[in-house]
Amino acid sequence: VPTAEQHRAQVAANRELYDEIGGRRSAHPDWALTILFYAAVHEIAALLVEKRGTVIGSGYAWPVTTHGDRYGVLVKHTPWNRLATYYDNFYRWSRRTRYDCEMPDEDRLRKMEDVLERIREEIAALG
Amino acid sequence: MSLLYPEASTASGREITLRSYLGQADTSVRLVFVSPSLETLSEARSRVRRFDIAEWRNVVEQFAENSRELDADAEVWASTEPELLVTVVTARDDLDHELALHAIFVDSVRNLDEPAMGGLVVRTPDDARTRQLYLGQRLR
Repeated sequence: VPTAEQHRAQVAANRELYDEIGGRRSAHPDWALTILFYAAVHEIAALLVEKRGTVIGSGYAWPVTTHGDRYGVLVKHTPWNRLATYYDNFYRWSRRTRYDCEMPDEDRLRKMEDVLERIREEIAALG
Repeated sequence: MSLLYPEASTASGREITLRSYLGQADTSVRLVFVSPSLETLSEARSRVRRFDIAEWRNVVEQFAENSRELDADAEVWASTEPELLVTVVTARDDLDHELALHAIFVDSVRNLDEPAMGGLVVRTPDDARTRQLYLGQRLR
């Protein structure tokens, strides 16, 4: 099971890759959004590693390995509901780009950068 | 009863979901109780699908009602194919509004055993016009 530090290193690596492929002006905006989505996944995964007692107390088995269970924990534990909102939004957009062939424009990528930053700030505020 | 398969034949009843609490990575197992004298496995699958759709409709109706105050002018559509989705068509194209709708959606799925993730799509009217396939039935 990866540590919180390993998840955070993956967040940083994803952000670096996002910038390398051009960020919000990337020629591959679908992949740019997907990279941001997985940065968000790792941000949340790091939180769940550090708060595994809360995860188990919410009725979920450890480790949490699926998007559905990760989301379920965030929904069931009320203080994490704002994160559930951001994750839900990110997940749907990642599906829209990957499966429905919807190309995100520069404005959408800017918004998803914003959502990723909100996730980071929310986790920091949770302490 | 075998747990090698996601469905197992036992007495009649409704769908339940089991989850292991052994502290190890696990896979959710859905048990479908089948009455062999009353239905085939295919019929049981259809019954579970109807159950999922009925449960989904409750979520969507609750969402449609709870989001009315936030955005009374928005259209709310429910679809079950190709997947269970609720689509909000709104002229308000800003991130805070989009996230406020997702917050209401999160609240609507809270009481499900397995909260449905990613079931909300927010579209502008222009966007919706080009993708009517996914809109389904209009609720408001």
